[in-house]
Amino acid sequence: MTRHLIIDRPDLQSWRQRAVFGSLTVMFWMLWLLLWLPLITLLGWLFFGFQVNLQMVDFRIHGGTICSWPCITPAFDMHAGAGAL
Amino acid sequence: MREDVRFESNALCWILMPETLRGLWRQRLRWAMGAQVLFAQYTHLDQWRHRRMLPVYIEYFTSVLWAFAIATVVLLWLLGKFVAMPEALYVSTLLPGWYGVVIGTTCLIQFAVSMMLDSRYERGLGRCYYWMIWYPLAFWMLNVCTTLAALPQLLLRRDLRARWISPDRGLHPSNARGSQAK
Repeated sequence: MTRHLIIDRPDLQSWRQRAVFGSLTVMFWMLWLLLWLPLITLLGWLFFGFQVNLQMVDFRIHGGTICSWPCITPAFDMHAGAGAL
Repeated sequence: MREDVRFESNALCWILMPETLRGLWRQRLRWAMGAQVLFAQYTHLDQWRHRRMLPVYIEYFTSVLWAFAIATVVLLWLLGKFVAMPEALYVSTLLPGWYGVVIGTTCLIQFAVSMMLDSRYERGLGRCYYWMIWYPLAFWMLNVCTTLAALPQLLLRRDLRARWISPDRGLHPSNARGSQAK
C-alpha cells in the first residue's frame, strides 16, 4: 500500500508545537527508562558483581596477578579471606 | 440469521484524529460518555446469546475500575501532602511500581507487534514507534480524566439527545500558509 494513506504533516505545525511535542517525547522516554532503573541496577550488580568477583577475587587468588583497581581491592580481599576460611 | 466474526488480515481501516488537545479531550469525553451510557443501558450479561461480548464488557469495566483506582491513588497522594494519613492509606509517590511498568511494557510490546504486522501494508511504520511512549504515559492519563469527567456529566445532564461537534480539522495547508503569512 502507499504511504499517503496516513495523513502525517508535522510541517503544518508551528515550530513551537513541534518543539513542545518533541521535547515532551524525549522526557517521556527518559521517565520510562527511569522506571526501569531498579532492574538495570540489578542487572548491573549481577553482571558487574560477577566480573569483579572473577577479576578481583578468583583471578587474584588463583593467578596471583596484581589488581589494577587498588581502591576496590581491600573490600574484596575480605571476601577472599572469608572464602579461604 | 446467525452472525459470526472472523479475522481478516487484509482489511484496512482508517480514522481521522483530532489535531489539538482540546479536540482530543472532547472526542475522548464523548466516547467515554457514550460507552458509559451503552454499558449502563444495553449490557446483557445474563443472556447466553451475548456471551461473546463478555470479554468486551470485562475489558471495559476493568478500564473504568482502573481509572477510578488511579484517581483514588492520586487523591490519597495529594491528601498525604497536607494531612497525616494512616500508613495503609499513605501514598508516597506517584511513580508507578513494577506492576505499572509491566502494564506499560505490555502496551509497548503490543504496539511493536502491531506495527510489525502492519508494516506489511505501511513501509517505514516503525519510525512512528518513537511517539508511542505517549500512549502509556499521557494518553492513559487523559482517558482516566475523561472517564471521571464523563460520569458526573452523564448523571447531571438533562438533555438526553447526544450532540457533538466533529473533531477539529485545523491543520490544513491553507490555514498553515495563512498563519505563516501573518
